[in-house]
Amino acid sequence: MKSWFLFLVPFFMLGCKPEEKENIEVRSDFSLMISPELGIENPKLISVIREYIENNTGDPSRVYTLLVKRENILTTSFQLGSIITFSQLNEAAPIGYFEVNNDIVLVCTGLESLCKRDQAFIKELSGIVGDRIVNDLLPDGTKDPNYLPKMFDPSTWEVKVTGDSVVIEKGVMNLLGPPVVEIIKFTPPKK
Amino acid sequence: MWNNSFRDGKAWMENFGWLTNKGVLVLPITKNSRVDNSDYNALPTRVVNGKSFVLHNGNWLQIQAMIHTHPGDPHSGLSAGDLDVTQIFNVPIFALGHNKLLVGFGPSANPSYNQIVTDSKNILNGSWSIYNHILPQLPK
Repeated sequence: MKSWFLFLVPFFMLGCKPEEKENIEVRSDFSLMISPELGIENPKLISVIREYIENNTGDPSRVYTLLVKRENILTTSFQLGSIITFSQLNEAAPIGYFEVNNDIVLVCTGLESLCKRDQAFIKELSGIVGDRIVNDLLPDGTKDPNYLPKMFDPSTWEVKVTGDSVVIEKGVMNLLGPPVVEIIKFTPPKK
Repeated sequence: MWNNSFRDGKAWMENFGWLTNKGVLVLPITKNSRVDNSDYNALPTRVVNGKSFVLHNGNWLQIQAMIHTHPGDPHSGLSAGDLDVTQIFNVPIFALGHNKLLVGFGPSANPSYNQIVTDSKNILNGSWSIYNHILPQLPK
C-alpha cells in the first residue's frame, strides 16, 4: 500500500502544477510511464479494453476513461467508460493515457480532480484529445452553464483483475441505474 | 427510428424525435449523434411560458415529449443527461431500448418519475401507442 501512494503522489502533484508538463505524454503503446503496479499492461485487460472499444461503434475515434482502483494487494478493479465532455473528468483527472488505434484511453485514479486553476493542464489535455470531447469548463474549472446537457448514455464495464483471474461485468449502464420510481401504473390498451 | 439505429446488425446510432402536436418529427443523424448520444439540436427550438416549440418548414410545432433510441446497452436506463434535458423543454423523455420503453421527467438529481412503460415490442408491433395510451396517462 505504501508504494501505491508513493506512486500516486508525484502524479497528483504534477497534475496541479502547470510548470511540470511530464504528467501526460504521447503514448502509442502500452509501455506506460504509469507504474506496473496498476496492472494496465495485463494482456487480458488489454484485450478487454479492445473488446469494449469495438463494442462502441459509430465513431471513428473517441475518448475513453479507465478508472483504476486498487481493491487490495491482490485485486485491482477497472471501470471502462466513454466521455464526451471535459466536465466528466472533474471527479477523476487523468494521470496518463494510451492509444488504441485512433482511440484515446485516459487513465484515471479518481484520487484527484481536474485542477480548477490549472489551465495549462487542461490545455495540454485538449491538445491530446483534440475535438473529440468538448471543453465545457469555465476558466475556474467549473462547468460552463451555457453548455446544455447532453443526452449522453455512458455505458461502462467493470473489470476485476486478481492475478490471472479477470472478471468482467458488462452493461453497468447509466448514472441512475434501472428505473425505480414507481408512481405511474400504465394501463395497457384495450384490445 | 429503431431500425435506423443499427447497421449490419450492430448498434450504430441513437435516433431522436420530437413528439409534437402535429406528429413525430424524427431528427437527422448529425455529427454529434453517437451510439450513446442523441443530438437534439438539428432544428431550432424555443421555450415560451413553459411550453416548447420546434421549427419545421416555417411552422412552430408544440413539443409534447421527446423520444430517442438506446440501441447499445440492452440493460440501459435513462441517463442523467436524458433527464436533465427534460428540464430544458419541460416535457418528458422516452427511451426505446432493446427490451423496454422508458419514460422520465425531472432533474436527474430528483426525477419526478423514471419509469418502465411497457415492453419495447409492444411499441414496435403497434399494440401500444405513445400518443393514445401513454401520453394521456403521464402526470401533468
